[in-house]
Amino acid sequence: VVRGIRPGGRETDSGLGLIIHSDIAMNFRPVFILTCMRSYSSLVCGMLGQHPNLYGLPEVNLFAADHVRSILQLFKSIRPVSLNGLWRTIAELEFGEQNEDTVEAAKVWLEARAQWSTSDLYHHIAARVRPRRLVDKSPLTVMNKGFLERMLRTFPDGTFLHLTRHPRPTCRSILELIAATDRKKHTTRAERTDPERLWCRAHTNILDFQRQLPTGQMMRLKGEDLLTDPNTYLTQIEAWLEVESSEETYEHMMHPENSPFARIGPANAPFGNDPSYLSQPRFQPRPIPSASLNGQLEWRHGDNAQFMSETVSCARRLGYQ
Amino acid sequence: VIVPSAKFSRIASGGAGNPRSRVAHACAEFLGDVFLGATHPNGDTPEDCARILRYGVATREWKEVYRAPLVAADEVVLARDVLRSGNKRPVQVGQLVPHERGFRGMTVFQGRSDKSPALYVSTISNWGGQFLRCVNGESFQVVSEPGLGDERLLSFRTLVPFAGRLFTSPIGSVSGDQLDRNLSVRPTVFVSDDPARGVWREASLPGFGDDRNRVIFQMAVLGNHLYAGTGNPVRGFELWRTDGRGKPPYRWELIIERGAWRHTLNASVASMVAFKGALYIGTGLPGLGYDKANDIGPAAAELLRVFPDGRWELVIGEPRFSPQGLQVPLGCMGPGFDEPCNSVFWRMAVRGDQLYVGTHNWRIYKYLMLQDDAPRGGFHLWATRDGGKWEALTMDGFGNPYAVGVRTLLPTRDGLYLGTDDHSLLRKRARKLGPRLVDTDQTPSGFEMWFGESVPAGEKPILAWG
Repeated sequence: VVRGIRPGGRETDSGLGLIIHSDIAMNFRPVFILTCMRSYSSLVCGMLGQHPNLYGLPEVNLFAADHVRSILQLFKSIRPVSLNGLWRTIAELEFGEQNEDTVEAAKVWLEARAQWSTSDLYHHIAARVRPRRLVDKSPLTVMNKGFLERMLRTFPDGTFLHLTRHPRPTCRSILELIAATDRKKHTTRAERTDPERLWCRAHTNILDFQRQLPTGQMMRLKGEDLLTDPNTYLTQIEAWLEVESSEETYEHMMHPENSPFARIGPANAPFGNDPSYLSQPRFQPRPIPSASLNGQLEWRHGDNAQFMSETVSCARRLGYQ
Repeated sequence: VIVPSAKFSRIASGGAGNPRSRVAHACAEFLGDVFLGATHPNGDTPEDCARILRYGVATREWKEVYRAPLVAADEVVLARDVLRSGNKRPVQVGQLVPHERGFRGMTVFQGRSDKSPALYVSTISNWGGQFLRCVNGESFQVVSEPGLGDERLLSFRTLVPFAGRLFTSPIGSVSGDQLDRNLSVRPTVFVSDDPARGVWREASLPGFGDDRNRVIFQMAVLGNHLYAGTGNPVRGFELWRTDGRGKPPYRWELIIERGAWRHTLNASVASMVAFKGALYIGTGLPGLGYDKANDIGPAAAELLRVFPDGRWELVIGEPRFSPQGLQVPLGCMGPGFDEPCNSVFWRMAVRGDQLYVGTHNWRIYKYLMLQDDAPRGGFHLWATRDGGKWEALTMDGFGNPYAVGVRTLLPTRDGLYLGTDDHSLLRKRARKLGPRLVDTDQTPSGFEMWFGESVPAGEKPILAWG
């Protein structure tokens, strides 16, 4: 256990190994990938996370509450699988690997630190991987403006990558995921889900969030562009993040499967990322089929089921047609 | 930090004799004097006649040389502005209104039938914009059909001589009961080698073959090419160019698309000028930085520059990834010169070794209408010698918060003329809010004209305006 000092220079009195110091915290500049779910974020986070100066996390969803206790209670009650990423992270960073034993140890470790703020825990994780910078893609963050504000309060110098995907395939993919879960659990969530509203809410929240940021702290990238032409865009991301850039760093990023989180986890924490990505994390450059904002929505009934005008405006602003 | 490199003096105020003349809209140097087209935003009364004024450079006096005729209003006058859909027009059919309420373009050109260079002016009229011609500085003749044969065409903003011909493109439309000041039902480049005889031909396909290009806002010449910037509310502006060889319609080449990868937030090209081997392009959105008709924005304007080989760079604006690499603003300032209310880079001009950029700034609305800001406003005027280092000559409309925009910038041998867009009707609102802006009540309504003289190198800078 590493003893540490709280922001402001005061040593922790809990003896639980919080490793934060104000001058260290000032140097943390995690990279947050902000996007709607099912928008290539697992793959992009995996790729960036393999850069030698960066460290890709699974979905830790830490900005959903102020304290670790609240996070644990929240997800245990509504969606325990959302804790898989956090458990795997702690197992890997605190206990050196991910197996059923270390995941159980991670659960105990977190319960023992339930009084920590989520900010403290996040800084602790960031300190663990120093000098590498964290890359986080927790999709829950963008669904609530309060979560985004908490993220910015925690890391005011963080960098934010707004990752986009055309709303039509995104919506289709959201529904496919929910339908697959429905089949397993014998539920009917897909029938009640409006994926377009999810897409719109996520991106509108991100665009609103950007207004308070200085120019350049958030950059926007179409996932389709990155996956079609990674050489062009990964080097630009390196320049923006001010990290090393070479053939070697590029080669690292082309192998997200080398991440310790890019596979199905132990039985007691198998996920923490898109299950499809965990099953097949290798990146294979491929053309992305084009999609249109016009035309009937196949998931909605009615003769005139088109995208809402606000979706179309937002999508056009992001460069989609 | 304001570091003035020019000394500006006001040479006209109060709309130069008509406080309802709110826009100093089009300007040109002709016969040694300065000619100015004054525009009235709506043209609802006989007092709203468009006027052309001549400023004697030697005498320093203004003289009216043209006034639009009055006609009986018909239903065409009642068309509602799509950007101001709540406003019912305060005009009745049959009442006298001006046939033209303003002028949007002005240039000097010598066509085949012109024995000497002539002044060509494009009018703003709900019955179809037309061209006026003047050879003696005193009398103006109509030399085109309304709307070049399509009476729905409101006006013509850009008038550019290139390769011995005059190029233009319609802006704004009156269709049925709707008026759009900007987008056109016929976004086509027109060309004439003899505008005196009203002979115009189509020089491009409509929208360059894409119906999402809804208007061709601006044209300019760089090297051996004519460049045209579009308004495209679906994908963002496009920049096209032609060498003008052969017979019209000419072959055009796409240079920039998708609003230079800022997409719809760069919906339109508002200004263009060649400067030190590059074409500088200012973008913009209408209204208060929000295009209500197309639900775009809010956003501030950007400045880009493109080189003859097609490469482009971001000068002022939002850093971004692009197919040609990471774009970071050379001027180290975000959209609007780091001012969110600079929604349009409306006019640019080159004089000497400096580029000047004048903005539209709606900050006064933020205070008066939205009441969430300090009591200030007024256009910005910036200057640069290289695109990288910038000086602000004013960030408050030369002290007039109701002067929301730079509508004309005319460089001459003697200096730089600048005409404003006046929104002093907001004063009524200001008085209700309290006394904090009461000092500006002394400034009369109507546009202002300013003249800037260079400060010689080495001379101590003089605070800019007086």
